[in-house]
Amino acid sequence: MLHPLPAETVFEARARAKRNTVLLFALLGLIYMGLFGLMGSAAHFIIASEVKRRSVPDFSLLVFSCSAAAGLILSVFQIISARGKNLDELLSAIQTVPADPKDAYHKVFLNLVAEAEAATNIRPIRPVIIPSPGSNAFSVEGAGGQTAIGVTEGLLVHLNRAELSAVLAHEAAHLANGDSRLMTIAVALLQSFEVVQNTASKGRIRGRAALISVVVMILSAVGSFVARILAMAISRQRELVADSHGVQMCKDPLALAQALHKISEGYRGSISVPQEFGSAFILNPAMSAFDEEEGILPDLLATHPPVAARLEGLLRWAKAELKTVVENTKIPVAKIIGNQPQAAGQKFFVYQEGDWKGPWTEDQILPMNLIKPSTWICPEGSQEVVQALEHPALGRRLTAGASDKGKHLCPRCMIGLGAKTYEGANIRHCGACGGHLLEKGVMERLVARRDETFRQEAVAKAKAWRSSATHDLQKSCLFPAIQCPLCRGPMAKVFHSDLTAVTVDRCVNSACGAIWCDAGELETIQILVENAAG
Amino acid sequence: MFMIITAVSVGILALVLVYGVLTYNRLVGYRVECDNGWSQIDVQLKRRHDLIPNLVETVKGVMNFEKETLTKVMEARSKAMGAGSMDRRMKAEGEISGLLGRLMAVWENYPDLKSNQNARALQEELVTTENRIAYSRGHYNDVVSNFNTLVQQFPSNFVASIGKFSARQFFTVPEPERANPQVKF
Repeated sequence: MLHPLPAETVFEARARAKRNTVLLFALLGLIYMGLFGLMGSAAHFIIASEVKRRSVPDFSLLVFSCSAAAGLILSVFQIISARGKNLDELLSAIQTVPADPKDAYHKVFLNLVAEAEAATNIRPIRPVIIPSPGSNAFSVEGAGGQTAIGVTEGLLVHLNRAELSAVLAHEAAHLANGDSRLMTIAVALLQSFEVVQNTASKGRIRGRAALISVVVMILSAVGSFVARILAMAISRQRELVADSHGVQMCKDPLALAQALHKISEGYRGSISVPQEFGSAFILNPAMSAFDEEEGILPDLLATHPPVAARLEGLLRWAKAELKTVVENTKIPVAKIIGNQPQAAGQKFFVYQEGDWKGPWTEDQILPMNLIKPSTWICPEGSQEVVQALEHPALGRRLTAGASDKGKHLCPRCMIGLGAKTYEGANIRHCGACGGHLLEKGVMERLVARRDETFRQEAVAKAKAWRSSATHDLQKSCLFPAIQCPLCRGPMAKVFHSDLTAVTVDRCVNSACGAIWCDAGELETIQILVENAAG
Repeated sequence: MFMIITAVSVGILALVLVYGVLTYNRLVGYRVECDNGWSQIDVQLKRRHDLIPNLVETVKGVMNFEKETLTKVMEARSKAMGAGSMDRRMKAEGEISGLLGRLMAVWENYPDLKSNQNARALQEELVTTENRIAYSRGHYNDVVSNFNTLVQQFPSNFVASIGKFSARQFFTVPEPERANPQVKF
């Protein structure tokens, strides 16, 4: 039982793991009732020994069964209180956000959840996202049978469609088998012992009562330890059921093997979720040292079977070797592309600080953050001086793609922001100053994604930024505070993170939470985060 | 003696009646499940019908892209939409599945389609729709199999024939053409 997946078919494996669950639950129930019975009998014995001369028997079946029944009633209360949690509470404890149907990556996830609905006939399954660059997936069921499947941003980036589909099939299998409910019951039994232990430790500490409370404490401590081991064993069996059932659904054991390998080898990361949710995930998010070790203690206390053992079974079903998986899941080397060649074309002089500077080409001027729409420019070889916005070619570039003209204005240049798709997400950008406006939650997606290749100069700039000590006090002095283009509220200057030390402007209205990045800041953040992560 | 015989036969009759009612209700339950299962497939098939004109529109600009196959898909689509009988409809839908599978197989060979954002979004929609149809079909066939077993098994077949329940047809798709698509560069 402790060494899962010997040579057997998917169907046999699923049936055996199911049988094991039933056995483990029966064992858990017996031990539970037995220990509560023992507690009652011990208390009875201690009281009886005090009034020795009366003919009180040392052991009474009635006392034993009454205390076992009392334990049962306690567990029922525990189960009811644990099952009362509704889905919204559970999801907010895991800190998920809804998926965005307009985002290319999220759209694939939404489609996959719809496929899981079709496969299991569970409707609806709520798709949610954990905004973390780590890789993991989970499924939960709340009160009234409401279900949800969630994945991290990182998972959507690192797995291909087939691998994602296999992971979702695994999670859908958990839902179809009601594993969330099973684990709730197992954990409720475990917690009953803890309740008794706490109550006993608060009892009186003198005379017979003290002796009784010590005995009860010892027994319940033993009980909670044994129950924990059994609950973890049940959790591991349910993972095996979900692996085999999921493979039956998606018919692609190799994809699940690749997904597990990818997550465990390269992109796992750790996600901070409350410990009791650990067994809801496809791989334990806390990543304890026990997970991958062999031996008695790891075997007893891990929530999930070791990845190596799970892979072994999956590979047998796929009739493939580990070599294939390793080959298929090689981490691509980050690409950096060369500097932009000097583009020929019309050059412009720019009027800056009381002097004419340049000439530069369009492609040179725009990234330099030199001109605003009102800046005076003069095309080389002509005497005509116009404002940048009025020059046909430059003006077109400045307002490039500005679809919502006049609605959302660049906080620096006050011209309409253009909409564009960047790494699958919809963002707004200013054609003039090169700043980007990200709606709430989009930054977390972009730092997880790897679509964009960066230019050498941008990478060099980011590295120089990291090694420089004078992190952006200058900016706070130079750039005035701005208004949020979306909700018109004030924006505050905040560090994106300690890691990057890039200052961005974040809308203080927490419902809006938009982020404004001035030119180059988004790239710097991405390069620093992705370098650190890879 | 007579009393005993009467009591026993009344008892047996009562048991038969109870069995009949329970079986009838189970049959009704399964039939509802079958109907639900079918309507789920129907939703996905309609979704695919809606995607096809979109597909033709998106890829028609791409030079030499399987013009013949596209015409055939459109024909099969109109056949499926106008089909009177279940048999005809399944045949037409199977044809669409085969043709779309062929298109998806050659899709990757066209750089124009790979780089076009609309085409990529459309490809994702087509893939997910095919998967949803396959999954819904699996589910429908499962419930049909439960229903048919009860309809045909002894002794529930008596209840089924009294209640006019008849076995359902499975949703099968003819094996798609095995021939490899011919691609010219």
